Amino acid sequence: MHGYDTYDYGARGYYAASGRFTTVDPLAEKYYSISPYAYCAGNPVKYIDPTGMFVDDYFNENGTYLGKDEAITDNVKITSQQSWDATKTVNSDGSESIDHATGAARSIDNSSANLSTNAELSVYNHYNPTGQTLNATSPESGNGGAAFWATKDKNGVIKTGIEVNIEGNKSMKIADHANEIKNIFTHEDVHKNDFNQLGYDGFKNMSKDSKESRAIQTQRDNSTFPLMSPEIQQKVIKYGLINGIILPIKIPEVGI
Amino acid sequence: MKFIYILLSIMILMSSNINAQIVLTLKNIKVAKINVPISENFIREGDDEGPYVNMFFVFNNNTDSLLKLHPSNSKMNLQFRYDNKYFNQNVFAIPFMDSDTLIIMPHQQYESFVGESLLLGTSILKHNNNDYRIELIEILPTIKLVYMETKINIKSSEILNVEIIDKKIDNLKHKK
Repeated sequence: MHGYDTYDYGARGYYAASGRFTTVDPLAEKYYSISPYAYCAGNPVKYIDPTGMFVDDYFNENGTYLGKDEAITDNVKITSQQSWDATKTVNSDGSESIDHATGAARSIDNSSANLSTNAELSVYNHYNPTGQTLNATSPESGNGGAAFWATKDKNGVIKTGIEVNIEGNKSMKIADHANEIKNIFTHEDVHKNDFNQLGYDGFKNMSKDSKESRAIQTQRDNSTFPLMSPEIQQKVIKYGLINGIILPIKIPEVGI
Repeated sequence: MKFIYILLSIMILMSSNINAQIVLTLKNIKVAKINVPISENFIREGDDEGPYVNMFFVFNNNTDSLLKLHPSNSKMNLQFRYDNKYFNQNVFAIPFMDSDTLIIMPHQQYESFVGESLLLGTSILKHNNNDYRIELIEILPTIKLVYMETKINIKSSEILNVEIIDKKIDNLKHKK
């Protein structure tokens, strides 16, 4: 139920909010005069690190995916179809992209775009691998993230889906970062798979600790997890500890 | 030796004076999921996690100088009292705590919010019953938010408003 903005450059993660990497450059000792947390000696325009790339995703006012740029961030941006069509590049594989500077100037963050509920759900659906129908949660559900749900009517007909906390995700800026949204769905996917294996009654009778610790372990092990903001990572871990996850212990090396 | 004692005393006095002039207030607490009905035919993740509180807090800089906070290097705790026991949990104010530096001008204020499941992980959380109306009457007035960073430790002084977000209660209000 949670999210992030750091980027995997192979060797280490980059946290966009602070413009720094989350771990020390493995070659930091060689370049001791430069901060070990800096990127390309603090001048990304002049120097390009070829070890990894992230993109910003663009959607139109209806939440339809348009394409991406070459940015080193994972922002979810909203632009008008007209503006996109006027500035896009059509690639050889048919996909569309935009120059980052142009795209950034002609778009706004998802959380500020005031999209309709259906358009917002369409944006989430772009990152949803679960095959579950998405709906918007009612505002009193509180926290950001999403929630798996299931109903069984008197004839035994079962329906399942995922509620997305659109407003909560906007206020926590989860809605602005592709990796944070993807990470939420890794959590919900575990619930869906458990439900499919156990059936309605089996899933209902499964303890909360078992349900949540399985989902959070998977969420934590997912490649998107290190790309989240440290605060949201901590929030996920806190939620996991309450629900009984066991964190691996780093055993210090002992010299012989 | 005497000089060191005097210096230490001045430093302690200065530190407590800074804290006294930064006031943290809980401007509004929105409380949701107070009484979530349990149904045999409906399962929803999170419905069994008890009340959720969204706390809107305000830092007031009552000094004549700039106040510089470092949210990304801070810690925030939610505290309350219930049944003669004190409860304390670490909370993450996002996106407030993503900021490296926050400057509040003299006699200005800064507002943000933090949300958390109030009772999740405590012995107060119930099984087979999601009605927390009685517990909240005792808990809500005792809620405090504590902001901590190097040389700063501020506890919220008062709660200005509490808002209940509950469909059933809203329905009752409309019937009146």
